[in-house]
Amino acid sequence: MAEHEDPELSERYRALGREEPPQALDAKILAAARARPGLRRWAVPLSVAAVVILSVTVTLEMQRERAQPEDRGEKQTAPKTEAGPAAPAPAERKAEAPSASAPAAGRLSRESADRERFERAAPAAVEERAKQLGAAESPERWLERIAELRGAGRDDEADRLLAEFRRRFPDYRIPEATLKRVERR
Amino acid sequence: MEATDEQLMLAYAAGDAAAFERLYARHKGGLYRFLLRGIKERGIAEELFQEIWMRVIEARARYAPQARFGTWLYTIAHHRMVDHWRKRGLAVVPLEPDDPEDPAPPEPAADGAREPQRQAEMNEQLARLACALEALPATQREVFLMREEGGLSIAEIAAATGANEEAVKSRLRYALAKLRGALDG
Repeated sequence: MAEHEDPELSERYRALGREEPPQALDAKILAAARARPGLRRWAVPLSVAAVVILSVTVTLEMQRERAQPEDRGEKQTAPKTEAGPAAPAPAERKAEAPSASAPAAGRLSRESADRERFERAAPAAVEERAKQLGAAESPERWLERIAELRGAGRDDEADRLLAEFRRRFPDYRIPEATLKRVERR
Repeated sequence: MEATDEQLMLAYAAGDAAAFERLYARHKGGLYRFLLRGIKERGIAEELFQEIWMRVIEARARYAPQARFGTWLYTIAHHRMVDHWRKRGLAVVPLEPDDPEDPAPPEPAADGAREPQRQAEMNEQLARLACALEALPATQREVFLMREEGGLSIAEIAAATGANEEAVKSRLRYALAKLRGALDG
């Protein structure tokens, strides 16, 4: 270990200066830190509840689609009581229609239907789906989704999801090969 | 007894904002200088500094003390710096070659006649050290700064940068040799 230490050099290095962040920066960060714990009391349970309700709603709707293939062209309405206050935004509901009318119900797996909805979704719905991904999926799955969006030329959505990924998994190391697939070229 | 960093982070996650303030006070200077000397542009260093702390704040609910808080903090910092270099189109830090082929450190600034006064000599020595630090390859500078400013061990630096320990030792050895060479003039 000694060959990796040089006390005299360390002392000289410290003499270069002990700069500190400006007070305004300190104040900004500390204000953000103080704001979060207060919010957390209700924000976290509420977002968890919203994700659960949304997941149940989407699952029920997909089950109904599979059970009634002859009704695929018809517009379906989700039970309002299940959706409650966390119902998907109108944009996402509209976005569900095209995938429901896609051909070859047998070939349309649940996952690809889900992905199609996701890809067509408005930004707010993308955020909502990001929440779902975060709750249920591994970082690798997140990256796969982002790479799929990137491959489909949906760069804005991929950027948003990548930013969200980095917020959720700040210390996750993205392998170099994967990085090339998820970052904007 | 003084609370550890990990205890403070857990207390913050449980809603104690004062715990974050203590944690921030402990690490802000080191992280700030790590970025300032690693990036060399104050504005960008401050931007990254803020982003890193925001990530810490956002990730608090998922924080699990599997490693020292400092290792986690500098892992986030490393990723942000890598992102920064990529955006700038510069060489990605982890891909930089690890050295034996590395060019010799630049010659210290040519000195004129040696100053008789000790203070003047010290100043000259520090200027050479600053120059040499700036001239280090990014990987070597990062390892040196993590050691000096973050107080990270070889193993912790390896974890934070995703390099193996031998590579870290090699980078640190080269960094120390070059900086020492600059000090000795």
